[in-house]
Order: sequence, then C-alpha cells, then structure tokens
Amino acid sequence: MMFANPDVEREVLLSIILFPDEYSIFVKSLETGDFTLEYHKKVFQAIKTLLNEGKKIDAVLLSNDVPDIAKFIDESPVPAAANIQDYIDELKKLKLKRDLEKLGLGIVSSLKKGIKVEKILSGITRYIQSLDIQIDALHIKDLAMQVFMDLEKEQKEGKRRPILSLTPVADILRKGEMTVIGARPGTGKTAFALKMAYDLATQGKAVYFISREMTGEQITKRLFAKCSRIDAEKFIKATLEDNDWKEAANALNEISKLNIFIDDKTSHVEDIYLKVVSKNVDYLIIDYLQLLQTYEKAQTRDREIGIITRTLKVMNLDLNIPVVVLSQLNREGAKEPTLAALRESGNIEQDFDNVIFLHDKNKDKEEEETEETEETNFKKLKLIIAKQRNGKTGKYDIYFEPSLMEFYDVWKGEPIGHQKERKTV
Amino acid sequence: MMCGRVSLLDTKKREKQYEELLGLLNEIEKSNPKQKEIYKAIYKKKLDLLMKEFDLWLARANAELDKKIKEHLKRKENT
Repeated sequence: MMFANPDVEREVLLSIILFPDEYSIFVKSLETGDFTLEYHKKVFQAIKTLLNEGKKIDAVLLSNDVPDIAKFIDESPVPAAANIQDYIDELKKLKLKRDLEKLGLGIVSSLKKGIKVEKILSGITRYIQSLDIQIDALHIKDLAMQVFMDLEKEQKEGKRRPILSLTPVADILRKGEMTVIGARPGTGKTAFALKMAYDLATQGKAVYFISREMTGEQITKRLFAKCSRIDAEKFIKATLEDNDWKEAANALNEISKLNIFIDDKTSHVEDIYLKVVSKNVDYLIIDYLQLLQTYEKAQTRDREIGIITRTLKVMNLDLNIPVVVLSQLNREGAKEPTLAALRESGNIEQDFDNVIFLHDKNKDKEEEETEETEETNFKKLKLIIAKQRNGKTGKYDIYFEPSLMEFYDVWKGEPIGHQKERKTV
Repeated sequence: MMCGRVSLLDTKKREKQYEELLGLLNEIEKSNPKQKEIYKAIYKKKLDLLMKEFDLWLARANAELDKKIKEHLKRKENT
C-alpha cells in the first residue's frame, strides 16, 4: 500500500508494549486508522481497550485479545523507542495522505458517475470538517478567561494600556446572502458587529468573527463591557473598581457560554473558507473588508477589493451561511452615505446582497455642537438599509452607547432599554 | 597530549534497567507457561535493546576516540 509504513507501525506498538510507563501517554494521540496492517490494528485496539477500562498496558492482558502477542514481540526487530514521537508524526502524516488519496479517488469516481457537483462539494466539506485542522481562531471562552485573568493582574500591577478607539458593525442575515455594513471611521462599526455576534450567540448560534482591526483580547474586553454593563474603558484601561468585579465575573460566566470564535490572525480571503468550515459555524462576520488581502496579484487596489469580494461571494454560496462584512467608507462627504459611497470598488455593491450604512448625523455638522443627550452617553445614529435583495430598504434612528458598546432602538426620541440594570447570572 | 573525553555511558540508567530485567526474570520463574512465553519475549527484547544501545554507544565512543587519536598524531607530526 502506498502511504503506509508497517515497520514504523510495529515500532510504535512494540515501544508502547515494552515500556508502558513511558509511552502509554502516546496512545491518546493515536487512532486505529493510523495503522494499516490488520494485525497492527488489532494490537492497537487491544491496547486502547485496556486503557479505556482503566487498566495498565500489560502484555499478558493483551494476550486475551491478541493470543500470539509473544510471537509479535519476539519476531519484531529491536525498537528504537526514543524516536516514538517522530514515528507517531510519521504515522499521522501517512494517514492524512491516505485520506487525501481516498478523497481524490472518491471525487473522480463521483464525477464519472455523474453525481451532482453540489453533492460532491458537500462530501468534501464533511471530510474537511472531520479533519483536525489547526486553526488560529480561539474560542471566546478561552479568550474571556484570559482577559479576565489579565485584568486582575493588570490592576494589581497598576499597568495601563493605551485607550483604543472604538469602532462599529451591522446585519441582515439570510443563508447564502452577503451583507456589507459601511460606515465612516469612528461611527461604531465594530461595536455593531459585536452586537450582532453577541445577540446571535445568545440565541445559540455559532459565530465566526474575523477581526483584522482589533485583537481577540480587545474584542473580548468590549464584550465584557457589553455583558456586565460596566464602562468599556474600565476594561480597556484595567481600572475596575471593587464593586465591578462581581459583575465582571458574571460577564465571564455569560461570555464563556457563547459560541463565538474570534480569529484575529486570518488576513487572506482564500484562507477563510477552510477555517470557517472546520468550525461548522452558523454566521461569519468580517471586520473589515479593506484590511483583507488576497494571494492573487492585482494591479490596483480596486481590483484587489474586487477579487476579495468575489471570493467571499463564492465562499458565501458554498458555505450557505449568512456572511457579514464591514466596510470603511471615505471620510469625505459628510452627508448620508449612499451606495456610491462604497469605496474602492464597484464590486462591493454588486457582490453583496444587502447593504447597510451606519451614519453618525453629528459628523455632518462637524464643528457644530453635537446632538448627544445631556448625559452625553448616547450617540444618535441612522441605520440605513440601502439595498436588500429580499426585503425593503429604509432608514431607522438608533442610539449607540459607546461606553457599554450597546445599541438601542428609539421610541419617542429616546433610546429604549438603556436603563436596564446590571444583569446577574 | 590528548584533551577532552569521549561521551559517557549513562551507567545509572542502565543499572536501573538491568534491575528491572532481573525483576522480570523473577516474574518468569513464578509465572504460568502462557505468561512465561510472553515475559520471556519481553525480557529478550528489552535485553536486546540494552545491548543495542550499548553497541551504539561503543561505536560512537570508538569513533570519537579514533578522531582524537588522529588529531593527536597530526599535531605530533606538525611539531
């Protein structure tokens, strides 16, 4: 058989049998499928069974399932037990090659049989999902725990971090549709995207959040502010007061339950597919378009953005999940943004099914006084649905409370729900 | 004058391994025929491994020694 090495398989098994105290720990990283010879599979399965039963690996006990184990030991060459990790790595590589070979043959055979391409793609996707692909995204639970511990440490040490500018995000979410949320810098894009991710995750959805602007830690601190209803600045600058810690701990508990994956590493659009597919997510949010790159060479930035949005669209159709992409609008032009404001490439408009703008009316007035409420906690924003493939367009007033990273609907000119008390879990 | 030493054998580790083998021999004596067969195979393999490790060390030590002797002779010629 190609992509198999029975000698290495035997070495690994023999090392484990001869030196169980040292090498039984390696059994966990192996599977029956890593072995190709039926006899080796049988020996490995017997080893695994013993461990699963809480027993120690013992050749005499193994002989119950493998009666000729003495012969196997006796006839095998002397192992080089010190290299077991290298040998296991080799077995894993060979297994992957065998699987890929099988997948390739399967694809060819399916094509010959005239099976629908969509069905073949779905099979490939399932296969990729079954692989243990190492990805760069971290589960929100791990990030939340890390941020919480860092906060405690920072406050104890009196360490200060630079104040980070707040940024924004948005949504309209249907399977296979791609939504762009455009806003000028500083309007609240990332906060809006986070709201979407948070709301979806609290409904039990899995969200993959690609952040090219902020680190996972920065994003998580904002989520802490949102959940605990404690000023985000306190998390950012590590200045929590004594009575905040209980709420922060509750927020940690709440965040840990959310199925959000924060990926602040992926920069190339072509890499997104595998990572998202391997996590089996319900929604994908990308913050933000202009910070994505492509491996394809484009002569101009416009074309590059075009390639990126086209790739995203293809991926969106294949994944069949809602994809939300944030996009930064030009600072110029203080008036309400229109579809023409989507900068850098016309493809943005073409490739997206839905277009939403977040507009800060106060920025229109530039030097004039702002319309912020007297507490100055809220920003009045306009949510503009400029394009919706399967729905209406429209404009809505909303309030944004930057300190808590929260958005509110407007009722009789006032934000609804902002007075809700701190939650306890 | 020759300087430096050849790699040393981990005698403490080997002593422990020999002790383990001795324990295995005692087990063989006490065990039933089926167990005896298995323990014998393990004993033999472990002993072979110890021997192999020793042979490898000896080969490496000899090579190091040869190299040092050559260097020594070369230096002697030059002086």
